[in-house]
Amino acid sequence: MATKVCILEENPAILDKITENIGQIENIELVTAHISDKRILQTEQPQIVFLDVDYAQEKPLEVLNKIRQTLPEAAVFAMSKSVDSNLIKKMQYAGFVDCVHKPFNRAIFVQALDKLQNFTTKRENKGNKNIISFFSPKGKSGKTTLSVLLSMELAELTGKKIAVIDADITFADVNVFMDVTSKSTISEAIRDINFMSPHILESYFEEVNPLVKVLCGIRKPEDGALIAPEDMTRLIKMSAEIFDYVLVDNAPGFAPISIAAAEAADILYILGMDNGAYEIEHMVRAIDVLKSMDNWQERVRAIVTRVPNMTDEVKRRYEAQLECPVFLIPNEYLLMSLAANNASMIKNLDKSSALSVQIKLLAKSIIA
Amino acid sequence: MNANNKSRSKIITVFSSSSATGKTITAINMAQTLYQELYNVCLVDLDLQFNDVCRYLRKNPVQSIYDYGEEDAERVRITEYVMHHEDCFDILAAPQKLEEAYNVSSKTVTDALDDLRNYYDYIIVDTTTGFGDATLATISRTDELIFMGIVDFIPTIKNMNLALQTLGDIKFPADKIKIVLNRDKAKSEIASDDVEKLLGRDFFHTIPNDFPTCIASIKSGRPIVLNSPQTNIAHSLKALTYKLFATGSKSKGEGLMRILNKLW
Repeated sequence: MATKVCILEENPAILDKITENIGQIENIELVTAHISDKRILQTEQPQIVFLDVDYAQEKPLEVLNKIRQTLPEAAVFAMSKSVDSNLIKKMQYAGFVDCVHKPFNRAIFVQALDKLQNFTTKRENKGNKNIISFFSPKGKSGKTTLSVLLSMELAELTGKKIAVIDADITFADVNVFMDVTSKSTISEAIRDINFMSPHILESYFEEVNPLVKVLCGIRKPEDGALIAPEDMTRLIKMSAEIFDYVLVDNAPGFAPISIAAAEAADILYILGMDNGAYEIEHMVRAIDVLKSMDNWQERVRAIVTRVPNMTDEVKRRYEAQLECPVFLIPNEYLLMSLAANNASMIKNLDKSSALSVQIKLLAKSIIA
Repeated sequence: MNANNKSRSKIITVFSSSSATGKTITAINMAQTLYQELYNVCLVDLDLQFNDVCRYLRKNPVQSIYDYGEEDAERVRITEYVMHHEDCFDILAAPQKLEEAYNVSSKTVTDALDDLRNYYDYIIVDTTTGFGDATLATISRTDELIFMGIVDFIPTIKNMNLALQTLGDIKFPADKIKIVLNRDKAKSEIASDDVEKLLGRDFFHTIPNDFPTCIASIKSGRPIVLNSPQTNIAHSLKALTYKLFATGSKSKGEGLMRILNKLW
């Protein structure tokens, strides 16, 4: 089926030129109109729109918002006679996919479509279980350790782009575990979330390696109060458009932010360590609350950490108590502490350790 | 009840910047030690969502701070919502349902603590990790803050430092913060001396590492100072309490008043 592309331009000569350059491309149906005539959007329902942002009568962002109201799924490009890096950044920041020089030729048009294809692929990955949230009733359950180690393992096994979002609004530790220094944090990303595109959001992440990036957590405990749950949801879903897997580390307990991260998740892991007290009982209570989520049985899984005897019988016992699939993580606390104390857990953890082996198994189960 | 009690009453908050530092065990055993010294003691469980005080003591609360908050504080007495037992200090329990935990406001917390001052010599508060609304409300009423810490790895110590800075930012007096190192001599490559230097203050007290005794206490439902009184950890928990309050036992007359108050 042909993709319908709409060009909205003030100058008829430029419209003619663009039509001449790209009008005959296979599987592209081109429709054009003067920029003042937006009815074409309603009548033609294009999937892609190229908008003249030089038109002095209207502000580009206002027009973009109007287009989004009419065509919420459409991809909108800006086009201008004078394109430089500042304009591109400004337009992307505003929410345009990209900014191209007009009149553009076939090569530029194809490049623009390629860029769009990346976004489309990420959106389609939603069915591939790519948002993974980690929750626990109490702390010291291993959420941060697991999210960090799992991110590296997923990257190694899949060769895909992985994000770790530190959404712990009590005390954020992901950057310490991964030995990254944050230039920007989740606070800045949330502050700017309503004004940016996925491309721009990626610049807030710190690179751990070419495949793994981390959005560092808050710098001070009081910064957590400035994060609204709806913005957290937007952040997570926008991240899922850029990255193949998004791992979200949360603070312990139910708070608006951790609930938002749970609801956005394709897989929600509930963690607890069985230290002989009431941790498992707390996990049961937490899971009871999460049963109100849509498709909770497909999405909710438990991980019990610091398990001394990792047998099938132990696993079945936990599964009977928690009423969901359970994954066991061995008690390697000293090993983990030693690794973390040497500047970077992800580099220093013994890859042959029982913990590393289990993390690899967990990653494989997610990919499968 | 003695009308002057309010001015003498002390609120002690047990706080930490990370989980599994021993807040609940410490709070329980401090309450028990003071109770054995014949003081009127109430332990308040403000770990609202996933609370352990009543679980560790195998008590089944009928009411909680949530029920108190649902009433007009001007018209009710907090003691109606407190669990009284013959053999134990009083407990103001946390909500037993998660949905109730959401509905305990900061005002309920401060009203409850202010009201408890009328009836108790010591109010020990067990909190959840970090600076949630309930904890901040408690800190606003706190006379002494027991800051529990463990020296296991660097992120934990980083967060202790951050929490101390935050306490400074909210103008909580530094001389009221008592840092207590728990699980001392547990396996760690970090020396406690180094941690003191990093934090810029000495540990007020250290509690030895004795996980089996703690678990035995939880399983029995009895505080360590009752269940295993001759262990080093029991002595240490008592010593912490005496260090803080250094008042020794109440007079027998005052102790008799506590018994009579329980009967009426």
